[in-house]
Amino acid sequence: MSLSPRFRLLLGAAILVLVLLPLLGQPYLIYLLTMSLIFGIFAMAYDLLYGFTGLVSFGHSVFYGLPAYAMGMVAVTVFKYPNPLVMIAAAMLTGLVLGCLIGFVCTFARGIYMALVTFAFAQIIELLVLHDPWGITQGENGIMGLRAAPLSLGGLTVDLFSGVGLYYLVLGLIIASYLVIRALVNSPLGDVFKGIKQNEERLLSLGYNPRPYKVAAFGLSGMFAGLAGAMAVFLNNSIVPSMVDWAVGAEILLITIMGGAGTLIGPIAAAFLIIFAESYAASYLGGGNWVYVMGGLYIAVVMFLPGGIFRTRYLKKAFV
Amino acid sequence: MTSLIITQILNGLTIGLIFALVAIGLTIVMGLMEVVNFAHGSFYMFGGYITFFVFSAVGSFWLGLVVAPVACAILGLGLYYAIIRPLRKRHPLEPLVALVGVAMICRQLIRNIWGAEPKLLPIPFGRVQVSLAGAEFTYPIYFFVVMGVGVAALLALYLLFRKSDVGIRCLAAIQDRDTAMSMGVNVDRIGSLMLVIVMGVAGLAGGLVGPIFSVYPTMGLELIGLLFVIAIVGGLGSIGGAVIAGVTIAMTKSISSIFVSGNISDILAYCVLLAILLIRPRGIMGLATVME
Amino acid sequence: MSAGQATPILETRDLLLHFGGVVATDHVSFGLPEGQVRALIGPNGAGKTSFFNLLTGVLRPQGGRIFFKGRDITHMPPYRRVKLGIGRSFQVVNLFPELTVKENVQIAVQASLKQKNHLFERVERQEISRRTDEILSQYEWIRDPDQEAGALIYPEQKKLETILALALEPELVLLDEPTAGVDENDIGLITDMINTLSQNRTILLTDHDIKFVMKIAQRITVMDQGRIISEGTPSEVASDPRVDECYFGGLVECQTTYSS
Repeated sequence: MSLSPRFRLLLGAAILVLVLLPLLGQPYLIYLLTMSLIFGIFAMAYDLLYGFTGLVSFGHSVFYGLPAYAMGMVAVTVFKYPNPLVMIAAAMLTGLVLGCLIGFVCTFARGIYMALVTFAFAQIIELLVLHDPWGITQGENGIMGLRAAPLSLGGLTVDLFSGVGLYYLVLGLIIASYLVIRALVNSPLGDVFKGIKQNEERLLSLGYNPRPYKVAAFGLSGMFAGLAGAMAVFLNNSIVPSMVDWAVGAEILLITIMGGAGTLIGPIAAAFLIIFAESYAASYLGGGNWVYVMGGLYIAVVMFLPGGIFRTRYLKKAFV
Repeated sequence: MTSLIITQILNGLTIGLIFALVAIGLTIVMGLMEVVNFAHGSFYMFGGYITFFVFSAVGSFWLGLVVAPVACAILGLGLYYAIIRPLRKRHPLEPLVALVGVAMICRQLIRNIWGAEPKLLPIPFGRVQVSLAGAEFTYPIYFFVVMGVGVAALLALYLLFRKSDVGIRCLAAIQDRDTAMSMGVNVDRIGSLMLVIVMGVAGLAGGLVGPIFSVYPTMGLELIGLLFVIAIVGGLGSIGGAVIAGVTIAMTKSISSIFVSGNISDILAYCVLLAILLIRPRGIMGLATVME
Repeated sequence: MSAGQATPILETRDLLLHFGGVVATDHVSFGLPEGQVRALIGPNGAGKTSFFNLLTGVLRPQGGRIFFKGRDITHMPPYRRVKLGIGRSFQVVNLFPELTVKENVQIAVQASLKQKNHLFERVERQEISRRTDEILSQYEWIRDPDQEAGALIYPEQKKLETILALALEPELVLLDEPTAGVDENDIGLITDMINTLSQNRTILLTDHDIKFVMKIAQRITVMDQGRIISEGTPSEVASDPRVDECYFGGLVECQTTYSS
């Protein structure tokens, strides 16, 4: 999967535009862009699992929301140690460990049955978060006031955790994540992931036990999803139970399929499309009528762009 | 205490049968056409609202219960031709995305017409004195009616799949689509017919629960996840499995709710499902390997 | 085939497999000495592919045992049998369609390396790509190794299928109909491949092309209705009346129907 020069040029131009956009100085635009990039990271994490390894998860909200709660534990409810780097590390570690654990359990089953085990986990975790039996999640109220203090590096203070600073941080992280995930799927390990998707039986007959690889795919996907969750916490300065709502997991599944599973860039593009469409539709159409636009968008993309926006014949011919 | 437990068992049975009725539709559509019909819950909701509409316009709940399945069946045919048929050659998750869109639109449509507040249908009949296992209590007659209608509908579905030509073909296609197709089973035609039937059944179920839970715009969406789990835990294409799974879930929830709060009883219900899925990775009565 | 090889590399005892009422292998006891090229033939539905699937672990028998190099592998999962040295190709083309030819071979090569961390270490990765290139360079027909395997024409996919099995460098190679759907030219190529291979490996193959089987196999086992009905050198088997019976008129006529 090497990128054609034309595609590289387009990608470079997109990054340049993203770097320059904050100059417009519109806070709401920055907020939406940051949210889109966060969902872009999340969608790539999902794409790693679904698009490349072929494993469907209906419970990815867990890997986005629980790492956020892990940050809440670190910073507010349990350890009260609001160091941003520790918080991010805790979130990614939580995503990784959780991914491996849930991956280990759910890969006992296969196909749609496996997907449903992930769903059952998501439901249980969402209910636990709401019920808050151990006083960690603060139930329906969520956790507030998490934004880390600006980093001070020898007299120079940089605020990377709000506004434009956070935007550039997330932009940097999405580029880094893209490069890491791309290197991963093009590595020998990535070949095994793709092998699981395309022909698991053949992989067995070549001497691979697919399960550890599936667990690894879950773990890695969980780790990047956790990173996305961590950034969302900084952006919103709060952790709310809706982050573990299974609808979040469903949305990221939709975004990945809309964008074109297995293309990485496609899901990112779809994340921008969905976040912006949702926000603008909501601001122009009152009374929840923006839902018509979103519902129509889901239907239209599937109907008219088979294989997702990034898999259409036109784009494939032009860029890949 | 005994009477409370028995009441909860009866409640669990009633709700479980309703769950099973709706879930069977999901499992048949999934098994036959490989379509994960996220809009299924919307038809359950339509059934409830159509019943409510007929009731408020004409004053007869029972007429509503007749109109709802018919209307839902017709709407189901529309869904088939608008969304499912054009997408039938795609990867199974692509129709899912479109159907999520449909479900979103349906919910908002209902909200725009009838508002977000629940509409309660009056419960027909009164309560009856029950003496069972040494306990004396009163129980709404309507719940027994729901159980009766539910069992009758399940029986009708069972006969459809075991005795009728089209039902047997449908089961054959669920078990092995390619072989069935090579033997001349027209999966598309059977698919459209089945969709009409199961959407009608979902509409009936939605009408039936009106007096129990009331009808509200999110009634379908909040149930759909649970219904999927019931459908698949039961085993694709299996009516018996869906009934067992549906009743198990409803029982777990209703009985445990005596002792623990609502959230915990939901958690328990999902733990039971998780256990079943891990012990029998292809469902209670799993026969098909589709979508693995 | 030298004398004095007491223990066979592969042995089955009383292997029983049935699907409902249909018996696929009916108490099959079978031995294969090391270094031999053995063909397993029989009419369609004789149980050859089921027998292969039992050997590789895709199916589990209801009764009987399988031994490989003296080890009981009856209940071993497929991937562990491969690690022990059993490689296979499939009757129906069974590749990774969206991976390139090179990546297909690479997956097989990296599977053959024993080191656990081979997916991460740089040296190992260089070794993987070196051996992949080495294998690819042996086959002239592979013009574009960066082509997706799914885009190859059928005979090429079939050959790639066999290459994948060989890339594992197994001690025992199971080839399920290597010539099915392949033209005369390529049969020659596959024959050469197998001949080179048989110098230091044991080979068990099934095929419907009797001419090919007669030429390449040192010994032939004939199956019918789940049972072994005959075994011997090609000429012995060809003159066995029981074989004539199951093939309705002898191997030679059979040849014309199957290879057309």
